[in-house]
Amino acid sequence: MTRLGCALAVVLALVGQLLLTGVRFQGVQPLLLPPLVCVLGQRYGPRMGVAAGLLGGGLLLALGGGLSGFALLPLLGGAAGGLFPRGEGVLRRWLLCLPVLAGYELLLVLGHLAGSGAPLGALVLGGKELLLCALAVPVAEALAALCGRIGKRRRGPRLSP
Amino acid sequence: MKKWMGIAAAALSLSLLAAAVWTLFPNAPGPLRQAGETVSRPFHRLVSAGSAALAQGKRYLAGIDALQAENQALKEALAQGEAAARAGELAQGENQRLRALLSLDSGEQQLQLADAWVLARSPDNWRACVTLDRGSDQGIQAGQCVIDAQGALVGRVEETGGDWATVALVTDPSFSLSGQGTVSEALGGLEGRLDLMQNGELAFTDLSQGREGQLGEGVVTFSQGGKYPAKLLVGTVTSLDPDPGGLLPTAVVTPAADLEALGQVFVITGF
Repeated sequence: MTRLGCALAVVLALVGQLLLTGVRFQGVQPLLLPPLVCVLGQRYGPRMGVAAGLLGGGLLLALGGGLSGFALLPLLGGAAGGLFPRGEGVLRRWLLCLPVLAGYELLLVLGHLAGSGAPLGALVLGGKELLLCALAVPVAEALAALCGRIGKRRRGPRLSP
Repeated sequence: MKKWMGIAAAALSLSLLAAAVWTLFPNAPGPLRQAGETVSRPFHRLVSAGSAALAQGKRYLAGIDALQAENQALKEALAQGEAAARAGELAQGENQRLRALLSLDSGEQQLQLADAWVLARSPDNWRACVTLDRGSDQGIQAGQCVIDAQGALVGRVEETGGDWATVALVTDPSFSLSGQGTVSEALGGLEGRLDLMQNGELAFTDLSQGREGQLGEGVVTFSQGGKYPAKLLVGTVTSLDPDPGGLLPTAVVTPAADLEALGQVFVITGF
């Protein structure tokens, strides 16, 4: 995947996430960026995961998101690529995404516990977010695959020496 | 392994550095946010329109049965309201006569309002915030109250830029004001809580023993220091939590403003 493909995937995921701000399930809006960053890290390595996390977190912060996303998304991408590198098969990658996303949500919960208390509310919200993120992993896979193809097409056929 | 550890360490350092810089300026909008808000305004409008359409579609599909039940309940409530209004008119006339006798003013607050439109909602599940299309150029300042067209409290301004402002809704965990029950006259704190935010509710906390509030009564803002207007309608008590921690009772309040479908709102710039 090229950098352009990665940036395109992140921007599309961000637009999707912003479009879904008014749609809530059990009071929680679906998230696309964390699963996408996780998938990019797994498919294309920790370097791509960190880059996608920095770009997505920075854009999210500029558009009114919290600092926690900017701080944790690069770590999520790096950890997904570093701890579980290059998982083969969609189902295997989906299963390997779950512990990384769970760790991401755990850090979010701990951060909010340190700030405001309300442990039960934070745990419930973290759990709901994790569930919705897990359900969004196939969408993120499809987005990453689509943008990967676009990147390849733009690069064009390689000339033989 | 070393390579990815290096990348992760670099990302962590960058994140911590950003967090440290951010904490140095807690009240000032960060340069990234300022630039982002300026650049993304047209994009925000477009996405906001799309998001509103999606949300409206979901509400329409989910709400037909609920609307029928609500319609029936509203008819009954209307009949009761008409009866109460007739009684209220009598009481109002009596009140005016008594005030005239005591040479008191009407007691109504003269609110100075700045109208604004909601541009976007926070893309973060841990906060309940909206961004407005008016800011400090229009006299909007942090801490000012925001109401909807019916006069119900929506939230308080959290931070402002030149032509944008962020509002923490009444359900946001950072929201905090003093409130008073309209029937029981119970005094307490109105606070957003993470567990209630998911249901679109807020807590009416630290109620005094013996005045825990009543189910169905309205809750309004209470202000003695004049930092914000008093008697702004916040919502209705929908459940009572008698004594969660062995200390003071708490009630759950459902906001009167429809926070999921906010359009035009009004910032109280003076009162």
